[in-house]
Amino acid sequence: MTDLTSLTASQIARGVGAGQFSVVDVATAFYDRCTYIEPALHSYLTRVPQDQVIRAAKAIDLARAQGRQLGPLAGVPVGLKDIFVTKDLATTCGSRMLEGWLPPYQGTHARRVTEAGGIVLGKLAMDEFAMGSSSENTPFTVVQNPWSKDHVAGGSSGGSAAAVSARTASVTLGSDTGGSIRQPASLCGVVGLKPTYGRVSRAGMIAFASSLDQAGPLGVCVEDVARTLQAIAGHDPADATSLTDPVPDYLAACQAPASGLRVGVDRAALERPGLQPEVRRAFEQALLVLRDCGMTVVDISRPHAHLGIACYYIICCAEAASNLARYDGLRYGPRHGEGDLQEVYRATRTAGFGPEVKRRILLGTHVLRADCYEEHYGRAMRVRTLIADDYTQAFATCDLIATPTSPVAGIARASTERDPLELYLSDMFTVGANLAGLPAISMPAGFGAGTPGLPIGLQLIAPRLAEPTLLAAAQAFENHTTWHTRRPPEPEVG
Amino acid sequence: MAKLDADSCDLLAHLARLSLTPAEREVFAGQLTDILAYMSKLKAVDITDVPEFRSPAPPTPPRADKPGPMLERARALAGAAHVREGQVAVPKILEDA
Amino acid sequence: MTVDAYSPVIGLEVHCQLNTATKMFSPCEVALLAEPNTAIDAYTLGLPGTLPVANAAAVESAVKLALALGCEVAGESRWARKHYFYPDLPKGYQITQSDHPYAIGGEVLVPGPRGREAETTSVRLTRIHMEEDAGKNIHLPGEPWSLVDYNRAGAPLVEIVSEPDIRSADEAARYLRCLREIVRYLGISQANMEEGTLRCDANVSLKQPGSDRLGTRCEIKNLNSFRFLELAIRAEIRRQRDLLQAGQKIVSATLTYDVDRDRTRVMRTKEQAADYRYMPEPDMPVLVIRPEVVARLREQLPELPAARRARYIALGISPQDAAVITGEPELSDYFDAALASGGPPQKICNWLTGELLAARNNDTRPLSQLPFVPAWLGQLIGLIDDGTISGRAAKEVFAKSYAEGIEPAAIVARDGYRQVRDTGALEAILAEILDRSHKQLAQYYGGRQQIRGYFVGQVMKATRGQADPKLVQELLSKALAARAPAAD
Repeated sequence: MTDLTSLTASQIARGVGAGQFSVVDVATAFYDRCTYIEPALHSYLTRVPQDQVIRAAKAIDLARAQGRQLGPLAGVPVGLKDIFVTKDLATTCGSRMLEGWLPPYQGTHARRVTEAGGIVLGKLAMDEFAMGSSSENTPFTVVQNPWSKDHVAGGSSGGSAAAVSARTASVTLGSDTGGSIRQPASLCGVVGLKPTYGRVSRAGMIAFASSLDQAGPLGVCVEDVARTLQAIAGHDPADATSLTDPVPDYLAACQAPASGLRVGVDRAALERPGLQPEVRRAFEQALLVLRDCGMTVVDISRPHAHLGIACYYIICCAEAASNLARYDGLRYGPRHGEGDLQEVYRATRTAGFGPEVKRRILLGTHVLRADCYEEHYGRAMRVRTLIADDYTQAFATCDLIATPTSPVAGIARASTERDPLELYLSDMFTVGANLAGLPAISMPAGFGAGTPGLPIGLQLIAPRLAEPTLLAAAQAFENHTTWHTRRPPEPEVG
Repeated sequence: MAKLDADSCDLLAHLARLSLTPAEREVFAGQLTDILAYMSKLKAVDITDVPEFRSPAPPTPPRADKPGPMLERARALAGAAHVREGQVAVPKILEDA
Repeated sequence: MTVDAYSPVIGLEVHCQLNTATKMFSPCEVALLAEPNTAIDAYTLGLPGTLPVANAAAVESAVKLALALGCEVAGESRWARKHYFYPDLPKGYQITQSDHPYAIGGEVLVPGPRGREAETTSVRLTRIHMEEDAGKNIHLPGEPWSLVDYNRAGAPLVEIVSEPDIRSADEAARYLRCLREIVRYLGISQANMEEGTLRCDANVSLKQPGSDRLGTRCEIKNLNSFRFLELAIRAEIRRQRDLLQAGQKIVSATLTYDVDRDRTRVMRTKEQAADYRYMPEPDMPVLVIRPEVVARLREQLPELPAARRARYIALGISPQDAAVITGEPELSDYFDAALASGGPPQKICNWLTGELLAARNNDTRPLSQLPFVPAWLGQLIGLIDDGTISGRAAKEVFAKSYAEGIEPAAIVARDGYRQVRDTGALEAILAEILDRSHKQLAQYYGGRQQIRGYFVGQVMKATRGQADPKLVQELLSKALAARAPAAD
């Protein structure tokens, strides 16, 4: 019998629909695989107990037996980044601040995944409050890159990318504020998609930077990602910024022709320091593949692109400082400190937040101060308009924009604290899509030269709500390459 | 860009209700200074007549004034560290906000 | 320099809780009197992952208020976050409107003091904005804990900010009463200070004689009754005046009013003022209020108290009475309904402000649910005017009609309140009484005029009080004249 964990989500959903195997068999296979390799991988922070997993699987088997219509994720084992609120299932957002919190309500994402027939296996590792690019910013165990135990899985959705790569989940949900789906997808050799801002609800996703955050899927292939997006996209009355536009058929979009699409490349961006030569080589190769698919590559310029990181970090830190004001230990989460109220606030927040979160809160507090607002936050929000306008102008002459996803192939595990600014700069290719609210995908596009050779990602960015175009191009690229079929070595267990 | 010294770091920590050790304060002050120096590149941009960015989301349908699900008190306060008489107990509030 | 040389300059910030079914940003019921923490949902508690979605009904109520106060309603306004740490503020910030409120300008025409209602003054408004309320902290005396109830957290509020156009504590109270009246006419809030659905902060400064410059302003917080508002403003004027007269400077500060000592006390000065770190609310799109909606709400506006007062005065009602009647929208509606079913306005007004209000003192039912319907006032007055019942009987008829919910005409018929106006019958009764009252007649003709009262009393007794007294007097005069002994 096939190893069910090696199947794509699409193969699972089709197989379940056709009665080739039961959901209980699928869920059991994934559950057992988790039990086997999690001690080495650490992709999960919390796993759903076996009996609950089996019960959920049986419900889908029963639905099929009764001839009920099955959702796009029927029988597909799904992992959720621990940023998604799950009723009665621990939700920490990778922070001590929420240790022990059992949410009394179900978030939109968990509900939609379940309604689509997905089997939730657990909550995945991440940087604390999604702040980081390595998933090391956490008081909990650090998820490993399945390709190399000496390298990080990326972040902040490191657990989501590693789980897909190591098949501890068939597909996963991550969140992307400045690249947090795409960068770990790139570093782990999987596909990750950040939808248009507002395409997927933010209700039930713990806020980091509200104007930038967007939930999205990760999978081993474009079709898996399209299928998962189909399950979670669409207006949510609980999120005032969620879009009301009708949701297109993303699976059909994958089959649409991509030839004739114009792919814009900003050559100047490739000259920026920090882009590894092997990543650049892989990117140039990828452009050739896109041409082979019948697309044309055109030059574009984005005059304000170099301001992206500065603009992004001011905005995300400001919004984070605000969003994290609610964590005071009074209504939920551990409370620290004896004595007066101010002492409880200080002790709780000092004990609850890690250093990267504190750094961003301090920075965000600084830029929001009354006498600094116009100089920092106000200015950054105006520069953001210019950055977004750059994209609008670029899309007048192209249908998609291609860049590398991460400027590096592989980030070694840190032995000492990293220089924060240096790490921020590694988001250079990804923050633009968040600032402008555009959909973007990262997909496997090669491997680095070293031993082990680590995955390299290609990023495609599309105009607002042009996920169908993005998926068509990504599927065409995938059809012309085999990078996505490579699997990491089995982790050394024990 | 102005250097962010340890004193201003203390003020920020106070506003954010964080305590910093002297060592942390030094490190953060240095790092924040570097980051702010990097961000000062935004100052060179001409932003005359450029509006603040606004997500192009169309206004979503308004919410009708109909009650939705509420939380049962015991469940809602289950995560609170101190509860008394169905209320969240906090150290006596002396000063005003 | 005389004491009165300093002129007070006062502006009010009034918070009014809108009476929607659910909260400003979440579909959680608003239940002010519920057990602590039983009217809460995930958003109210500020649980991670929750987001605000504006309540359309709250926005419409707010727009009605803006239209009633003559504000300009912004087609696009924005939400902002105001940050501070406090246990009753679940998210660590309040969603409010800062630089771009939904309503700008406007004016309240404040009636003059009692007896001089027609001498209105104008108080201009700076703005009105919407925001969410905080929860309530309950301070336990003698214990190291405070308890927090989040039922009120997230309740919809409008904040009405006036220009510093108010010149006295008394005017401030009249302004606030006037606002309360308007809000109640619109039906958008209970606007009850005791219950906290109407709250007020006052900004007070003193203008130096001969100066155009405003003095340094101080803000008195949380004035939760009309009386405290007046007392606190007077106390603050005294405090500032004393400082100035002692040659000291006023330091911008936030104060609280100490009722026991009748003085204001500084809570914090401007230098200690919090930095609220306002920022645009990223969870909320721009608030769009479309012109069609504004037009529809404008059409729906009820006639407001000032207009009603003017209408009543034109009917000949005194300004004082007009003010009493418009003091409560229900009373004014009742009056209008009574007018509509006919009757002289002044008499209806007298009955309404006299007997009806007195009867209602011991009644908790709303006027609209009284069995004594407005049309009955006119009926009752008609019965007096056409002589069917006496004025004295009318009071009894009213009392019975009010208590039993039976119309006055039916009470009159049932209980025999109809006046006896049958001349023949009364003449017969009178003749019989005079026939047996030799002694009294002798006294009368002997010059004792007061004895007439005895005869009238006897007639009333014989008719069980239903004789028309005027007619009795008339007939008595005739009879006495007829029986007068010849002047020999």
